[in-house]
Amino acid sequence: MPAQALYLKYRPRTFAEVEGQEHITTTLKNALALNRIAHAYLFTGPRGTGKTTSARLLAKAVNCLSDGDKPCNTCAICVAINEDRMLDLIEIDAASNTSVENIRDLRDKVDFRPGQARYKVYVIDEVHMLSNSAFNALLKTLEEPPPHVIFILATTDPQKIPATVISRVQRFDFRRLTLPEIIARLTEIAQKENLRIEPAAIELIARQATGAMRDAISLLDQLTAYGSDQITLAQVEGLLGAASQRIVGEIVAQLAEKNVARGLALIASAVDAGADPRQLGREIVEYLRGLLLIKMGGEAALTLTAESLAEMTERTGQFAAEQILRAIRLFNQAGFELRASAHPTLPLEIAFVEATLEDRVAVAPASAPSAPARTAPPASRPPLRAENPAPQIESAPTVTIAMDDALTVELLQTHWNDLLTEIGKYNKIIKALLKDAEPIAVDGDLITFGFYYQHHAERFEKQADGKQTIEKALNKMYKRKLRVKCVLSPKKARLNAVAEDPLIRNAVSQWGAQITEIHHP
Amino acid sequence: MTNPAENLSSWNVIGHTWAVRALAQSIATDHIAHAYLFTGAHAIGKTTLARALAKALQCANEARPCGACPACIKIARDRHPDVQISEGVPVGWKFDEKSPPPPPRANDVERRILKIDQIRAIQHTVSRAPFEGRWKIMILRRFEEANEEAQNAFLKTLEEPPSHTRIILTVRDPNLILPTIASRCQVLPLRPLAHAEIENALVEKWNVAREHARLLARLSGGRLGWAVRASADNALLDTRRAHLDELDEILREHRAERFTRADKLAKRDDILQTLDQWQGWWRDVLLMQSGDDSRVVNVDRDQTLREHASRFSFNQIEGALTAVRASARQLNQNVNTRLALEVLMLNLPGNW
Repeated sequence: MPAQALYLKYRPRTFAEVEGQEHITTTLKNALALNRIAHAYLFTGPRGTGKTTSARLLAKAVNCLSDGDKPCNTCAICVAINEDRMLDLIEIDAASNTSVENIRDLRDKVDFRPGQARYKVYVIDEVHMLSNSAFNALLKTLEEPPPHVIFILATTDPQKIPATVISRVQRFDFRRLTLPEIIARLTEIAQKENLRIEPAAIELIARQATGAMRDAISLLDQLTAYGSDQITLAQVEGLLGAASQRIVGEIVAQLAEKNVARGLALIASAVDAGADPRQLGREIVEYLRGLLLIKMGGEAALTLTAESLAEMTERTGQFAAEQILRAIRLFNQAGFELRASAHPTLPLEIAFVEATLEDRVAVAPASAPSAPARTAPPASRPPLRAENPAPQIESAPTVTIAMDDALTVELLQTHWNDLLTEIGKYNKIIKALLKDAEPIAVDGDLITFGFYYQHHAERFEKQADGKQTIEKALNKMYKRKLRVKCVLSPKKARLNAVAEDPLIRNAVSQWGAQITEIHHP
Repeated sequence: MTNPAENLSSWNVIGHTWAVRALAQSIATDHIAHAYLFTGAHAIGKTTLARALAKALQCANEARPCGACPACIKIARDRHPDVQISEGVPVGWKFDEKSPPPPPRANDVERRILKIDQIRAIQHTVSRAPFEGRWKIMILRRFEEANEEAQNAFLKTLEEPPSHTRIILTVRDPNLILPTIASRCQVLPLRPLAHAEIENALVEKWNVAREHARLLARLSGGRLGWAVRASADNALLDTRRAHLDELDEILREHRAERFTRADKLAKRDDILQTLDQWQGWWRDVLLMQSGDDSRVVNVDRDQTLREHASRFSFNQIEGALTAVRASARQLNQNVNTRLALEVLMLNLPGNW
């Protein structure tokens, strides 16, 4: 016969053993002592907090024959219930018996008196899964059951219970267990089972259980099953796929030093050593949360050993609070994405890179080009993008500018719209292409135009009469023979490079900023 | 007590040594849990391990599992009357105990669902004593496909199953099932295998050429099942090659051409897979640039990776990676495919 699961073996048998739910057990004990037992109860709370256990305890206690503490676990009734052969304790799995038929069946049998015990106790577990009509069929019985019947409903999901049901029962909310409570219980079980287990291992188990006693005991059970003589922290880490606290600390340290290569290598080595990527992400978030709490003066909320607290406090100095917050968000997000990703570590890696990247920009905001500030474009220069595509308004279509003095870039810029109009008369395509271009240089009779975009320049090259058209228009406007050369505008290329910067990219996409000038090229 | 760690090889499971050792140990010490939950990415080896555990539980020999006794052989062929492997039925099917649906297709895009009828049938099966084996073993694969009613209906069975029953659930992601299910099982979170492990296994057991095995191992993301399938099915690698070539071309194209490209891409049904491969590729470029080429996945494209690592700035690469991820996320959220891809095309770096 294989061993019974520990969480079944150590199901509490008295109210005193129910850990961490004193607000409920005290009330129930008082009710028993005063003989003021309600006819219907609702036990709600997260998994593994003692709902089913308490329901069975209550069933024992109301029927217990002893005069003293109830349940006594020695009288015939208590023993029968402990051995699972009590006919008057009826446990119904509402999740498998969801329909109104099941409830009608129950209702028909409710009227029969109990066979052995004083009360017939119906425990309806997972009650949130009952169908709507099943709930409604239960209402009348629940409101006024025969005097010999007690209903105990148990669920993890009280929102799904109709208000009409809730108002007919006494509701008890079970709370998540705290870390010390779980540690205490685990230590107690370990002693009874003659297990040798490192305190640090117990703590990690308790932490992992996030307030659910059954999870904690299952995990302990699992470790004893796989066990050697002594359960060590390393074994627990191996089972959970947890990275050691030291590696997590180092990864966070690389975050502070913005050492991308080393950080990525550390993540990879942790995963290669058997850490679960998602678990690793959670641990990093947990660690960063610790840093944040210390930073904000809330270290009382942390349960840490003195040395790791000292180490973390020291590390806190390397971060600004916003940096930690951002990193927490990024790694949290990574945790979600890890579910879907086929690359096991990719989301973590990206989170790491982004966390360092944004730091880099945020640390030196003064030297970064100030994109969000909308500096007014200098009057002499047309905006980079042709924002006023209606140049006809100002001047008559055919402007001939007779001028003998030397042609300059500034002059060309002031006449740019006229020139475009003129070109448009010969070739609309070239006019359109030149809208995203600017004059760059005038060298004697050679004028250089710079295109903002490569593909425009290429399209222009493909136009058979491109240059001739411009030359013709220039000739008409300035009355002289000029040659034309077209290149890619270097200024625009630089602007494009600046636009790749994540901070600026963000400013442009989020707040609609425009890049007008670069002050520190 | 025999040391169960000695005969781990008879389990015939590659990798997951810690899990195998743990299970062997618990069988040796008679600490077998009533319910196990194996979690881990698709094709990582969950069902393989479940089957191995079933063999070890039913095996008649001293050194369990022997792999040679009738019980082991029957389980390997899915013919054992007391070991039932089941999963949901394809969407639209009605569950019928007498004519079970075909097992899931290998490409694994098929959606299935496990409904309460099936759970009731399983509860019924479980309640009967084993026919010839020691245990009645139920292996429920892809349990994340069980709908809420089915999962809830299974809770009580899972908590206190009949004493002769052992239940093994496999799930891709424990967050996809009710926490109350997971808390009733012993959870073994299977992790991706190391590259070297997969590489060696491919070479030794599946006779794959070393160089090819190296690539497959890295592409697999630690999932042996995937690597084995890819080694037998060249189509998987061929489509990947086509997708990466495509990215190469796109990076050389100009805006107008990219728009046409987005239009074409939007009509393909493997676009999510494509984006996934592009993500991996950009990750490699990023790794190359940060000076760490030991963990690059797409080893067969070393040259182009290097080229792009030097061609683009760190910010550009990071931007491209973010852009690809963003579009994958958007497509999952059901935005207009073409629009999302057009935005992606504009956000990928280029020569302008």
